Parts: sequence; structure tokens; C-alpha cells
Amino acid sequence: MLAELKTATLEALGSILPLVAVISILQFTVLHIPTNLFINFLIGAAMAIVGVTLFLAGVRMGILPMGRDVGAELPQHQSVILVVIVAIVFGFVVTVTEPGVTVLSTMFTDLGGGGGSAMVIVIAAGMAVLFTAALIRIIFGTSIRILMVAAYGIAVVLALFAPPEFVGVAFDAGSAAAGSFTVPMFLALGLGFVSVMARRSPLSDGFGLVGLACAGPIIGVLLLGVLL
Amino acid sequence: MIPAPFSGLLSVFGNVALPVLLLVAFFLVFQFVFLKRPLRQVFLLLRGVLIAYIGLVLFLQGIDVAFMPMGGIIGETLGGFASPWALIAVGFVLGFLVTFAEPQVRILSQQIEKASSGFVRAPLILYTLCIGVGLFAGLAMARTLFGVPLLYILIPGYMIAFLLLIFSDKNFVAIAFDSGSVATGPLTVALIVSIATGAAAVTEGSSVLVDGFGTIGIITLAPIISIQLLSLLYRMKPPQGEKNG
Repeated sequence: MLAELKTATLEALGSILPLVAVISILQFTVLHIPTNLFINFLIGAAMAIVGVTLFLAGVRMGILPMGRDVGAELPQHQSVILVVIVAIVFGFVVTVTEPGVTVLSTMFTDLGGGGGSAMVIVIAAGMAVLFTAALIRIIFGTSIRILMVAAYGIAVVLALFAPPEFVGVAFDAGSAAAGSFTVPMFLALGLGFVSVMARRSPLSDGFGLVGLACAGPIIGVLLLGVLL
Repeated sequence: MIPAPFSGLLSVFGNVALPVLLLVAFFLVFQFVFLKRPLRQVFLLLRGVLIAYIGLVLFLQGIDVAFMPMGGIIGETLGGFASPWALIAVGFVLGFLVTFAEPQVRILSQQIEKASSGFVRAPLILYTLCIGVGLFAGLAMARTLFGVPLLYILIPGYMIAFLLLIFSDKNFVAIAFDSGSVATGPLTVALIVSIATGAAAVTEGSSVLVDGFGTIGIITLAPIISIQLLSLLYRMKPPQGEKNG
């Protein structure tokens, strides 16, 4: 665990310090915000560095092995129905509780956009359906190109018909739904899933779960916009 | 402008707790029904999740109190400059650096390196994403300043992405779309969107409502296009074992 934390500390410092350095340069050249506020910024940035350290170490020790284990177990029961049930429930539940999704829906409703709680539901349902589709496509070996064009193509076509204020928020929903725990979990789950299946490439089959699943919320919100 | 560093920390702990608990509950059900790993191993996994949870809370708090308000200040200051290039250039540099800083981008690059048995190096993916997001963050700033409708960027953007699908290496397609979602992590969203919103607030004829939302849609395109372009430059041989697998 200590070795894991040490690696993560160096990684976190190396990744965030350049950003802090450039913002500091901006502070002393153009921004000139009061020094006490700038010190608050630096404290917040230090907190982010500690956070990223623990997050990276913890994800490697906990989330990635969990996702891999669950992924490698799923196909071994020779049951598509089991995969569908697990994927629908898991996809829906992790998205509906994602703080980013709730914040986005509330913000949009407060700014006068329609939707309300229906927004959270369509985002989670979209995520669940496309996450399931993404796993099923690994089983049947459906081309990832066709699925990505279909999913994002539907999104772009719907964007032409949806009210303009729904277009921006729909794409934001796609990224908000991919929470910080969901992303590593899905990545590891996909790789675990293909690791126990014959004739599947880890690169072209193991990846794609996050990208395809995130088209779900986009399509869901745009449909809501078209129908409302 | 910039709040006290620890204000609202407890509520962040609360907000993130529910998805973590559900994730753990899901795993435990799975563990006791199917996996049946030794309890010692389950304990180690749960300890990892707890560490990741505390880390995520501190990271999100740092974003909320430091990077998000700073983004707004940067947007308002540079958006008020006579020349649009200041904001566009800073958008590029900060777009590059937030992607460099985003922990989930690191995890994705490392998973790609591992899955390809070292054939696709993690730094190659990381820097491709940084440059791609940087360019599109610059584009997003230009869009805010000039008030270009979102669809004018999204439709040609996805056309290019789909066109590249025909030519790009099959092994990179899934990675490209995954990267699109991964690169719009919490830090990227907070900093880039708040710069754009800040700039929209001081730009005449620009509205926070219309221009505030949508920046993420533009940023999502960056990895999809840049990773596929990378695959054209980096004509990849299939990793060992794939052909006869």
C-alpha cells in the first residue's frame, strides 16, 4: 500500500502542479486577485493534489480489481439474461445517484428549462440501456464502428429537432453521467469481460463501454426535449 | 470570489457517499452470490474503495473552492480584453493542462497500455488527449466570444468523427469514444466551463444560458477526433495473439 501511495503522490504532484503554475503566472500578470484569496486558491489546489493521490491509489487498489473481477465473472454463466439484468440495474443505479447528474438537472430546471425529475430518470435510463447494449455487443461480436455511428448519429439527428436549450445540456449530461467511480469501474469491467472470452481483442472489444454508455444520456435528454 | 478552503466539505462527503455505497453493495452481492473471494481479499478491496472515496471528496472540494472560482475570474478578465486571442490562447493552454491533471485520463491511458501489452504507450495517449482538448477548448472560447450556435460546431464535428471511423484502425475506435467521455472529467468541466461562462458574462450579446451549456459537447469531440487521427499516423499492427486468439 505504501508503494502504491508513493507512486500516486508523484503522479498527482506531476499532473496538477503545471496547472497551478500557469494559473499562478496568470495571477501575477493579468488577474491580480487579492493575496488572501489567492492563498485560498493555493490551499484548495493542495487539497486537490492530496485528493488525486488518494483517489489514484484507491482506484488501483479497490475499484479496478473489483471491476475486473465482476467483468470476468459475468460471461461465465452462459446467460445473456444475467448480463442484461446486472447491466440494467447497475447502469441505472450508479447514474441516478451520481451527484453531477442531480446538479445538472436541478440547474437546468432552475434556469427555466423543462424536465425536472424526469431529466434524472431519462439520463439514468439512457445510461442503463446503452451500457447493456455495449456488453451485449461484446458477446455477439457486433462491430463497434456501426454501434458508435448509430448511437451518436441518432444523437446528432435528434439535436436538429430538439429545442436549442436541450442540445447543450444533453451533451453535458453525457459527461456528467460518467462519474469518477463509474469510469474506472466500466473500463476494468470491459477488460475483465473480454479476458475470459475467446476471439475478443482487449483493445477493440474491451474498450467502448464508457463511450457507448454515455451516448445514452445524450439521446435520453434530446428525446425528452423533442417530446416535451 | 474564492470561498474559504473548507466550506461545504462535509456536504461533498455526503454527496459522494451514496454512489460509493451502492457500488460497494453491488460488489458485495456479486461477491457473495458468485465470486466467493476470501474475506481478507474483499477487505483489501474495500479499503481501496474507502481511500479512493476520501481522495475523490478532497479532489472535488479542491475543484469547488479553487479551480471553479478561478476559472470564472480568468474568463471575466480575459473575456474583457479587446483581442479575442488572449482568451483563446489561455483556453488552449489550460485545456491542455486540465487534461494532463485529470486522474481518470491517467487511469484510461494506463489501462490502454496494459490492454495492448505495452504496444500503445500511456504517454502517447495522454499527450494526444491533452493537445486535442487544448485545441477544442480554444475553439470553445472562440465560440463563446463570437456567439456561434452549438450545432454549427457539433454537426461538422461529428461528421468528421464519423468520416474518420471509416479510415481509422479498428483497435482505436472504441478507445476514441471512451476517451471522449473520460476527458470531460470533473476538473476539466469545472475549469473550462467556468472560464467560458465567465467570458460569456462580460461579452456583449452573449448569454450565459445559451453559451454556458454546450462547452462540454465540444470538448467531448476532441478526443474522438484526435485519437482517430493518431490511429492514422500510428498504423497499428494487431497485438500478439489477436489473430490466432
